Amino acid sequence: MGGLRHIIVVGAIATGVLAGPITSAQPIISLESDTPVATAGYYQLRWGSGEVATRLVEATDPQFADARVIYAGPDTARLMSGKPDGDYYYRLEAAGDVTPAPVLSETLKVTVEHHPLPRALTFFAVGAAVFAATLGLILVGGRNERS
Amino acid sequence: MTISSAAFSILIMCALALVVAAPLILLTLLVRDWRSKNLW
Amino acid sequence: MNAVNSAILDASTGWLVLAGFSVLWIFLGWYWGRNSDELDDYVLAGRRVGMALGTATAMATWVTSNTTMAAPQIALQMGVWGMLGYSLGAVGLLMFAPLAARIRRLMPGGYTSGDFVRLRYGKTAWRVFLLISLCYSLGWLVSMGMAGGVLINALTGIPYHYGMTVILVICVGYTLLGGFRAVIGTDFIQALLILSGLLLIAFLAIDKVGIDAIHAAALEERPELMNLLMPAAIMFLFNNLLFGVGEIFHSNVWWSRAFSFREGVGKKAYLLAGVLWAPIPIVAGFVALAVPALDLNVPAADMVGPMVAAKVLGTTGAVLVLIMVFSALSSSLDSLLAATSILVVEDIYRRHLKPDASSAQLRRATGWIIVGLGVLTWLLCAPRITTLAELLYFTGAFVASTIWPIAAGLFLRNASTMGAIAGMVLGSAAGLYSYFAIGFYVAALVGAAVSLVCVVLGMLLQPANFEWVNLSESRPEKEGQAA
Repeated sequence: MGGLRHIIVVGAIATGVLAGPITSAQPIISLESDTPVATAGYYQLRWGSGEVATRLVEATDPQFADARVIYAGPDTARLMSGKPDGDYYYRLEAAGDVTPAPVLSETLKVTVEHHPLPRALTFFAVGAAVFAATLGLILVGGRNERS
Repeated sequence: MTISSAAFSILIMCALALVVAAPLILLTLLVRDWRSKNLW
Repeated sequence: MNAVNSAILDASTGWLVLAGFSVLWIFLGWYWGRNSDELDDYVLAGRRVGMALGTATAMATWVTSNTTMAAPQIALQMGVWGMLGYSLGAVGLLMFAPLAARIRRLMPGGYTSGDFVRLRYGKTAWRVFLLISLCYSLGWLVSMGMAGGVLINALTGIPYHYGMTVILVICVGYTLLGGFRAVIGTDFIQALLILSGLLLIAFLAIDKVGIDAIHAAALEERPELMNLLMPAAIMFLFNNLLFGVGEIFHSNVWWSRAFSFREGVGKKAYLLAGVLWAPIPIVAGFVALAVPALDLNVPAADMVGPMVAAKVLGTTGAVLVLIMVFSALSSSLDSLLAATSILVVEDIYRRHLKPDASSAQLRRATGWIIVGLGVLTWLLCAPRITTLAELLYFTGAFVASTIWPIAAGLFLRNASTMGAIAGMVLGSAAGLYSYFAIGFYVAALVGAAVSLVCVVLGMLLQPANFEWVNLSESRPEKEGQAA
């Protein structure tokens, strides 16, 4: 399922990195998703580990106006799932009390676009038909055998 | 359309009940087979 | 690449658990196998397995590491329907019940699913079938071996190669010593271990968090998981069902059980096993939905089961998960080794290479093949190429395309060779295409649907008129005597 790794960069973010003096020497930490478009509402975010503590921030606004911290800790990946349709923006920030928090990664955009429901229901119907036919074959076959 | 809390609880409790019953059923059958020398 | 930065248990605890159970399985293997010198005794437990052991072995074998690990994974990815869809894997066991009864009656001296396809459809279809079945078996073996190494590593920090080697050596060891009796005997104990571990984890999750809180937090943080109209999950539902049916209908793991069960046991045992198996993925999967309530970071989907268990139970939980995982892996690995070895011995060694082999030669060959399969699996697991483990998902398309050739071949006289071959080949191709074009959650479904159409067309265009008595073959010792 993994396979392709895409990094989508939305806008230059170098300015953020330089915002705080403590981070000016920090390299940009890579942040990527296993898929740019998630058709089942789940995707894995992975990032490199830096020397400073980081936190992962999510927003639906490309400028991060509605940003919220979704993870802060030592792990370097997170499985996102159960997301409704929409564009989601992610970036890593330095953990700590400095405001605004220094941005440590480029912005990553992931689009969640579930399969259209009619398509899903078509597959469901085909599956139900194959199942019903198989069950019918076995039940009828079993009954003929007894009689 | 989301699953309601009540339906979710019922689903989980039913599944749990069956998983509780499973080892008991297996052990009962084992004793029965063993007594009638039908184990294998 | 391991994004979790610490193992849950320390390695010495891990080694202690592994060593304890290894000794137990090996001892039981030796104990149960000490009188199995006859071929039928060794590979089919004398064809007299009763209801209790029959039910437990079907259930435990179907609880693979995939059930305990992938059910939580699917629940975390696809939510409530993913969990329910996984539990529909039970339908495979339920639907095989009438087949098991019929197989036992039509082929009282049969050994493998390959025997059936050869006698029913002839040699070409048989070879296509063997290719599918052996690829699937090898895919399953490799995915188990790798899962063993990866899970033991994640839980205890024991290096991947050590964990993978231990689990393979132990399973090969007791299967070799005890044959099919060791497989089903240990399956019974393993079934009980899996069930009790699962129950404890589920009860503690409910006790610590509460079902309502789990529901509320999931709805808040990951709303689509609770959505009953989530498109991918709806597509996954029948796909998983048909994948399971395909695996069970074609694989010699299930056929050899049908041959080994006492007369009249097969149908009941498979039905009960299906009913008892169905709730397991729900209980295992629901634990994953506690992730938002527990505020747990899950780096990779396949780690969610052990992580939640460790979170709610601490060290005890991790030990329990280790025992559960070890049991689930061995109960499937041993069955697979036993069933695949007899498939290779009967369908390749005897039918292709040495037609006049005596019963004793076949018994010896089975032992060598078990060791050979173990070595081959080890070699394929050693480089730890993750894409190899994913091969098993590929095989969904292949195995689902065997459903109709097998089921129609067992029940309908007019099912034809052409239809069966076309069904397996075209069904596999179409399923594989949809795997890449749409997603893993439709491959089996498409494969089964295309295969059904081919088999039905075959019956209409070129109907056969098969005589059921042709399925009954004498056993090798009798053939040997005749020769």
